[in-house]
Amino acid sequence: MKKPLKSILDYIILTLIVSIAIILILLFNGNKYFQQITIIGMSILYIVWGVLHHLKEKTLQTQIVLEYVLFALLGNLIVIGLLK
Amino acid sequence: MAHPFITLFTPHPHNNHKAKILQPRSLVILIGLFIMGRSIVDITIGLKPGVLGYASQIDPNKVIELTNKERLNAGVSIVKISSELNQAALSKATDMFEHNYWAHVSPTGTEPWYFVTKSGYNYQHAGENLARDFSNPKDVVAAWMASPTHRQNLLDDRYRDIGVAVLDGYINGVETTIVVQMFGSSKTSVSKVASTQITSKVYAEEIPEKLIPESGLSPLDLSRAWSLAFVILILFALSMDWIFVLRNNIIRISGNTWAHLTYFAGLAIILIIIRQGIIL
Repeated sequence: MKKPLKSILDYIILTLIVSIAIILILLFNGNKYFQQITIIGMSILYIVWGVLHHLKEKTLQTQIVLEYVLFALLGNLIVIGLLK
Repeated sequence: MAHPFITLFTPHPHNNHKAKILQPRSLVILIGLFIMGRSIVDITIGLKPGVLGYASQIDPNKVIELTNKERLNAGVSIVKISSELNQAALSKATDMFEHNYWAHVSPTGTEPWYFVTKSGYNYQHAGENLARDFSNPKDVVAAWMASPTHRQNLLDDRYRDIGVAVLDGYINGVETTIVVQMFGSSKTSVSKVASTQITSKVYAEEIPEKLIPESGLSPLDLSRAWSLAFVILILFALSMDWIFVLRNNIIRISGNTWAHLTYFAGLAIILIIIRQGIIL
């Protein structure tokens, strides 16, 4: 029972990170610079979350880190491209 | 042999139990495709600025109409089009492009009131609202209404006249559209309130028609659609992956699909709520 509960806490943290980013984007609407910082910040925290989560689950591998980095890179490009 | 569509979007023994589109190699290809698509839009705008109707969908008359609608809703008298203020707004927009700045006061210290006076408008009260990078007049006025200072300007009962200019150009090498909105009440109109002569004269002056492309295609909307298409594609692939892994109880070496879904769902929300224009 303990493991799923720990995982739920991990997911709550990630949901919080994404939710805070959405709120910040709304607050900074019109300020492209801060919005870019928010997106980059959210993506870095997403990678860090991934590394820590897999470290805890003892499933961390270079391939997995690469997957998080590539997803974050694609996500950044998609949104920041609109904030040029 | 599994159908290529199945291996592209669902975990299968043929794709090592991970949808091909979510594998690192495919992600690199997706990144390349995204950059390529955006570059095509940017190059098209650069080579043929009119082809996508770059922000030309902002009609100055519509900005004025929406402004007056907001004023009426707030119980404030409407403002009338002034050719002098139109000229002042146009001079201000031209000055911003010529001197490469985005501010109420130019780097050389020229204030907006300089353009108002230069146009021949003898003002008692004057105000200026600026906007850039919007794709339609509705969003411009909505953004001004959402900002307390701009809203105050827009709904100021002291103003009797309005002038709006919409101009395309380059600031810091980036193609943009600037909207300048000038408000004013002339010394004449203040001292001769309800002068029928002035009223009829002002009503007769109309802003020259601005050409609005019929295609309705804005590069800003196109960029947003391109970005959303990618996010939806990834969300679809991740959802399929998550459902298949959960249903078939697949154990594999992979990142957490639920985490990727959360991240991309967040990005989708951000793409929808993000406002592209800036007001000043």
